[in-house]
Amino acid sequence: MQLPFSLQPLFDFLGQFTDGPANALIIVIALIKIALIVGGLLQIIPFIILFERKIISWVQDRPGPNRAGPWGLLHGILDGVKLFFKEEITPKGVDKPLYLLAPGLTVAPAFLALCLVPVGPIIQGAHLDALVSFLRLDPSIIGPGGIISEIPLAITNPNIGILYVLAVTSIGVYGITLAGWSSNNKWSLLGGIRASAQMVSYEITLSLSIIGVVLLAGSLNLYNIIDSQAGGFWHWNVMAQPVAFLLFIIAMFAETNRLPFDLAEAEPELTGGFHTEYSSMRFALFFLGEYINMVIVSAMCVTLFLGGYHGLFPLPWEAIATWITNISPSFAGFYPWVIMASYLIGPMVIVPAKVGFFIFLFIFARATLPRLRYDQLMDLGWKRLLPIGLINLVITSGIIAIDLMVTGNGQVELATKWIIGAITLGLFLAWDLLYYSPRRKAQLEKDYRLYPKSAKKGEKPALAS
Amino acid sequence: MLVDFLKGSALALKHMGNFIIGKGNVTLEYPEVKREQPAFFRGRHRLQRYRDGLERCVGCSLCAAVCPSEAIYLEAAENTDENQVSAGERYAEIYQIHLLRCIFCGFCEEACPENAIVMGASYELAMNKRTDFIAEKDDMLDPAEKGFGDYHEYDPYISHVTPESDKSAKGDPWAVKAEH
Ligand code: SF4
Ligand code: SF4
Repeated sequence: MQLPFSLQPLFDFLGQFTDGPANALIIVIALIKIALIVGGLLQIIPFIILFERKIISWVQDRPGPNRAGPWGLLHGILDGVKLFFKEEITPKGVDKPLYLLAPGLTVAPAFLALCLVPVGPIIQGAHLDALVSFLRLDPSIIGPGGIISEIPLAITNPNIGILYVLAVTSIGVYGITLAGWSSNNKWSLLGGIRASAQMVSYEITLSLSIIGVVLLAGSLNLYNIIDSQAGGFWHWNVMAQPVAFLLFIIAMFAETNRLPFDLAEAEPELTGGFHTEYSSMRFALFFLGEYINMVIVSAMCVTLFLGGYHGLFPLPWEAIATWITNISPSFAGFYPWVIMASYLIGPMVIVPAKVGFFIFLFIFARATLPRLRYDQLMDLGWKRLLPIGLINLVITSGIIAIDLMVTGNGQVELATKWIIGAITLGLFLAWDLLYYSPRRKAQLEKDYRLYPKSAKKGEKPALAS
Repeated sequence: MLVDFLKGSALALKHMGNFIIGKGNVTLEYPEVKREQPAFFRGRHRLQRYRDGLERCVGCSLCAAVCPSEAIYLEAAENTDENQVSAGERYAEIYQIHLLRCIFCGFCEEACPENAIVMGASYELAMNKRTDFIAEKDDMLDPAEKGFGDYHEYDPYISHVTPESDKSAKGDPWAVKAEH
């Protein structure tokens, strides 16, 4: 099967401007991937906002927005339109350059981190060969032996992927802090300070929970990390690192400034926090940044712990394709389509489903959990999560070291993964149950209760000292 | 700690699940479904009529006098044989209530000796222009066929009988739908 015309002349023509057709091809492939991934995400965000409002209303026994369009589907888009047409107000006394820079500084890192999210497998080998011959390109430029020997279904695939993500997402805190600082408003400043302290504290937990995964995969490359989890859900890192998974989820809520950790914008205390003084599209940019960040950390969590684009069970796609072509001669042309489906099921079904689960978790936690106090937040970050993360890391690396010494093949065995998972999860649960024993919980309840439980019903309670 | 988290989440999940299968909704879809108001609800004013279509208001200005926010303006005119508007000697030629000034206290209703002005059940009071908030007599007057009661027989209590209180006497005080 081939296209009726060759695409090669197009790239030969473009190559005149880019120092060779290979460069032109690289740029075009990157642009297509950017258009699909970034464009797709931007289209989905209004609907994420709509679903957030819907799910919160359902938890609160009300139907939620249902006026604009069938089932309220247009609400998110109309929100955007409304913000777009609002007046941009710049208050007096703001630090103008920083004030204008801050919204961009929250959105840009989010988009930069988006470049790394692997939504599908790498196209290489015979499949790339088939694709190239279908498009009738020059196999010496693109192909198994050519200059471009693989096309990863992510915008880019650097070797230090996870480090890059950590570095870029931590730049996002500048946007929030500068917004608070430049707004010339006490509440904004407080929100900015809280955000910076909170994100710096939880960044440590986040990194600690990632290191275990990096050790298991033996690589910082996101594709290598995903490949180390191939072969069904029992290979996923969540089986080997359940505690790190929990820590990552908690830190992920704190990193994105979402409830129960949204102290930076706590409405009852700070009237909106760092974005109080922003209106119109500048405010919308903060909003956009928050939601893209949600998607990114969810995608990172999926990549690191839930096997990325791998499904629950491994499917032998080539065998299935061969089997289908063997059913009857009229199905003979289906082979490439089945192979294509095997590449598209990741970006179209599996990754959206897994990321959607985490988005639901974000929204559901917002509807369920109360906001933490600032000291509780710091307590949780430094006194609980940090030691847990360290102990988890020590146990994980110790067992991995033993495994590598015994087998000596540079691979972590499946059984070792399970042992690590069982030990860490068991220790964590034991600590949780012992530390928060019924006696201690009663004591905590007594400590934090404003009014003591009255001895008799109807008796007027006295203020606790 | 984990157990407590799961307990709390289970409660929220239960509410969400209940809503999805159609239980526990507390919201009235307002423009389509309207909340039924009790008979004693103080909504937009109505001017009532007798059974034969004559207006009850006799232009005595007691309502305007009692109104704490001076929201009522009325000018009375004499009834003549050719132009018998109300059952008494005079009738209200102009009767306006400024709904932005009105505080819906219901004093006008209590002061009226003829039970002409009553507080209706309608709570849809949004308008597009400020001038629309001045309710004219025609806006408030009941249609002729909704008149009730008889002025030929003297009955000191008849003026306290409204369609609403008739119904509430039968034990259904929540049965009045928003009108107008
Ligand atoms: S309800 Fe009260 S404020 Fe309104 S018109 Fe009647 S007396 Fe005046
Ligand atoms: S509404 Fe009643 S109180 Fe007011 S002028 Fe008419 S009869 Fe008198």
